Amino acid sequence: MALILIIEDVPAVLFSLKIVLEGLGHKVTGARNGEQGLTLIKGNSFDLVITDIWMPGIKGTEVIREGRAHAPRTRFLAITGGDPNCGESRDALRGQDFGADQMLLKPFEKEQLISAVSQLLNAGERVDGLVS
Amino acid sequence: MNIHPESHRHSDLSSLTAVCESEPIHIPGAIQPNGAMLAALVEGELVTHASANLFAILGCEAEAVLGRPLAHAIGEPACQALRDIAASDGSVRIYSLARLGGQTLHLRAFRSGRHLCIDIEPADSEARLELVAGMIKSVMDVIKDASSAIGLFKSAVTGLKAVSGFDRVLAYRFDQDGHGEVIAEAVEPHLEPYLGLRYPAADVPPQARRLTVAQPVGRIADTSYQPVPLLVDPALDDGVPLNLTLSALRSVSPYHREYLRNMNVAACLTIGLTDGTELWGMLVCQHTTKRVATPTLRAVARIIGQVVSMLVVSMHKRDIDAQRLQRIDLLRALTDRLAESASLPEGLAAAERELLMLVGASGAAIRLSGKLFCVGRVPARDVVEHAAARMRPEAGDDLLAIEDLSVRFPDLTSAAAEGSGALLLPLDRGDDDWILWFRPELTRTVTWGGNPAETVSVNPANGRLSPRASFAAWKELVTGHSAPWAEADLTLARELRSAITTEIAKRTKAELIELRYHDPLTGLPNSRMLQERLEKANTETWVSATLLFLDIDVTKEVNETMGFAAGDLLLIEVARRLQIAAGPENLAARLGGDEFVVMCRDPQAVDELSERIRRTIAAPFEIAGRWWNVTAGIGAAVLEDSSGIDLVGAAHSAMQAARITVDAKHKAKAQRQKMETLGRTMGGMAHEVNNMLQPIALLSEHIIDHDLVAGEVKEHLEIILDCSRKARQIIGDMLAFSRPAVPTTEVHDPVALLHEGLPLFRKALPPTMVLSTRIATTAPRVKINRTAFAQILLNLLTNAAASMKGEGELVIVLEASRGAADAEQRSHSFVRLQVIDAGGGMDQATLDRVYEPFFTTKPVGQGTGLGLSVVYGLVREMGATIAIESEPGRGTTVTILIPGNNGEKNHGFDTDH
Repeated sequence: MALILIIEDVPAVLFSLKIVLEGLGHKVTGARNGEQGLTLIKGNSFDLVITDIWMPGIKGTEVIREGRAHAPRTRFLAITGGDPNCGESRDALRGQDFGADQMLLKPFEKEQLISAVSQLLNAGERVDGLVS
Repeated sequence: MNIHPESHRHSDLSSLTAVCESEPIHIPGAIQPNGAMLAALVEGELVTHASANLFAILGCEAEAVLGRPLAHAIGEPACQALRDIAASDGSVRIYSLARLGGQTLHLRAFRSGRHLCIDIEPADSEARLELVAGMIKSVMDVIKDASSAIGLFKSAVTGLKAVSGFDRVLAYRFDQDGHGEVIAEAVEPHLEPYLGLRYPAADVPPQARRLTVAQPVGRIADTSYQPVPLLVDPALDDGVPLNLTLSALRSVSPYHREYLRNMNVAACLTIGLTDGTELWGMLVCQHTTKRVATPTLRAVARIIGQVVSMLVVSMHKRDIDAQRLQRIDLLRALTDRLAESASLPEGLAAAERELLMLVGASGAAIRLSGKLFCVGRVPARDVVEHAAARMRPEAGDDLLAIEDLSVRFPDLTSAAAEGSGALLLPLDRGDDDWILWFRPELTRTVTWGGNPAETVSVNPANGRLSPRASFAAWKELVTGHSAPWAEADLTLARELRSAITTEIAKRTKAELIELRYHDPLTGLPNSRMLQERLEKANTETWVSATLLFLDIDVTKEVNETMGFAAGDLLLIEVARRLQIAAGPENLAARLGGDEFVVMCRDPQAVDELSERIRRTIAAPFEIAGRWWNVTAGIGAAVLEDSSGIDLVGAAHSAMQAARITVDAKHKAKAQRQKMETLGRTMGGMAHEVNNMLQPIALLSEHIIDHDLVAGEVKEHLEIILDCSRKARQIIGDMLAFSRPAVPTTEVHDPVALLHEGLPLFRKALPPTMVLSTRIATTAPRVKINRTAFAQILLNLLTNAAASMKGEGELVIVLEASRGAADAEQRSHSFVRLQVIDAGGGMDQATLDRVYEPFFTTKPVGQGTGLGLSVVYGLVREMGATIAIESEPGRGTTVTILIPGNNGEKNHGFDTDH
């Protein structure tokens, strides 16, 4: 049972993620944008933060960077549907990590989500920015 | 001569002079006393007039002969000798009449209207031929050696003084205003010299000049003589006074005699120097005491006068010719300068020295095509224009040369210093072109023989006019005049005008040819010139000529983004480079618009020339601060040896080919731009769609996994989930074309890669198809991603197979290729990869959209239409270029050029082939 924060501006996506993760027994908080998310990060101690990258307002990369500075022990999972400003292929996107510990491309399978979450929650200490 | 007393009121000089000029000196009705005169009607020969002193000379009384036959007075032989003269006018007959008692009389007869007049004088003792000849010879000997006009006059007066024995002999010359100047003098030493003095024109009034022209020799034996009246027979008097113009004894005007007496002249002999119509000078012999000029002396004097006249005229002409010859070099230098200069004014200004020396001027103003140029010392510009305007009417079509500009046109006094002398030469080109030369003011002192303002005075008591009494030297300072213009100056000015006219005609012709045969924007020969060159070449013997046609593709873009002036600059620069690349042996021409042609006569040189052109055009152009890459479609037409080749047709199809290439470039560029826009749009869409697909997938899975539904509902949900996965795939593929991943690239040998992949490719094709290959043994290495390489081929082969409906032969070609781009930035070697099918082919409309994602000609359901768009993206990413050639019914060839890996990575754009 972990404390998870999901930062996602599309309500349906946020809802579906919440359902799945709560179904696994985790405690899930939601934020609709990066600012809200950061406020919550600073005021709480989450085990995992799942954040969208391209949102209105602060980008996910920024959230991850600042969030890490505040909560070094928190794991970050970046999720993205692609850069709305150009047509990046899935292959191109896969090559980027946005500063997160892991990245999933939308739309991902439930399997992929569960697998990524459990990896991150069971991961050891962060050593030099790499998840061991 | 009197005037009406009341005319005193109008006694200014000019009106008095006018009165003098009206004196009828040709009909004095009297003669000088040293001879007698008879006049008889030609018809009937009855004596009508006789001088009162007839008895003293002839020995019979005047009254005795009047009304009687002439023969009674002078004898029949004399009549016979003299009467023939009746037939003509102006000639004079001489007859020597021997008288009883020893004295011989000299008869001189002339015709005067209806009368025959005879001057009768005592014969002189010198009337012997050898003496006369001797006198003439002695004067001629001196004259003929004269080398100048002045020298001639000096010799003439000296000789004449010697033979005549007069105290003073003068040579006068009249200037253009009629004033006389003493230019030579032979005078007794005790007398005051008159050399250099000037005498006002009024001293020799017009009627006297006219009379002198008719009868050049005149004399007065004693200026104090009493005139002898001519008596007229009352019965035969017709009231018309006898015209004594031709008489040697005619009585001279008392006004003139007073003039002479005032000058201390008691006797004189004058010889008029004429050109037949005008009196231009005089030789005047004067004596302080009475002296008779015998008929012999007068005859000699007349001959001398004629010879001097002729010699002076010929000398004058010789002088003009000599001056002209001296200056011909100047004229030649001027015309040379005109011919080589860029424009006429430049030419004239460059030859400033010659221009001025040509006419002996110190400054000149030249007006051509409305612009004024000045050289040397000239008055202020507005004064110059003003002077020209004032002089123009009188100059007419010829010219006008004056020495007293500011005197003649008082409103131009400011011009006096630099421009007292002005020579206006209108040029043939309309009213406003001229050359105006200037001479500076030459102030000089002129000495008059007496005050010229006092030539005539009037006695208030009786209204009598008198000549001046004083002939003492009277100095006048002459201002506002320049040195006079010589005949030679005018001649050379006229010759300069001809030279200029010729030059202008030449230039106009050249300009017309230039305009006709050259493109005004770039200066290159135009299509007309090329046409004529071709036509001309077609008739000569020649091997062949190749025409390289060039079509530039960016002018429209330049015009649209930077304006038409920039587009023009681009074309000018293209023309410049083209001309350099073409060289002097080939003809570069602009056909119009974006189209250029280079004609090459040497077939061996065509390839090199083509390459040079390509290279020079490929180097970027800087137009108004921005750099542009210009591509040109180059098409060639080879013109064989004459006979029936359709030059126009060949040119046309070459241009068509070139245009196709350029059009393809256009399309490729447009395509790129379209793709980039699409990419952006797709990205946005994909992002949204991905977000929407996420909940569909997650929630469906969640429901199924947690067995929240069963049976049909569960099945339906599974379908929903499946569709969402497919949708994801579609979106993913859709985006693949625009910016594929930055995959790992390594240096590969494409030959090896292809061989490796062949089994896979064969498997991907229907078994009914044959896959042939043409693979070079070696090809340049390339830096690419091997998966991408395979993907490209797979997609292309799939498309090809579909177009051939699964049957037939497909060909893969792999070989090395030479690059087309220029040396500076691009690599030279390429690998050419081709997939060739013999399927249905694509029409132009299809080709235009061939790379668009989802665009497909296949029926719905068969294929996504993404294959080529993926290929496009992959090709671009590896820095390669792709081109598709296809013809409906003939199949398709897809050609990919991958740059060889010798250094820089090729970015691909702008060199789509």
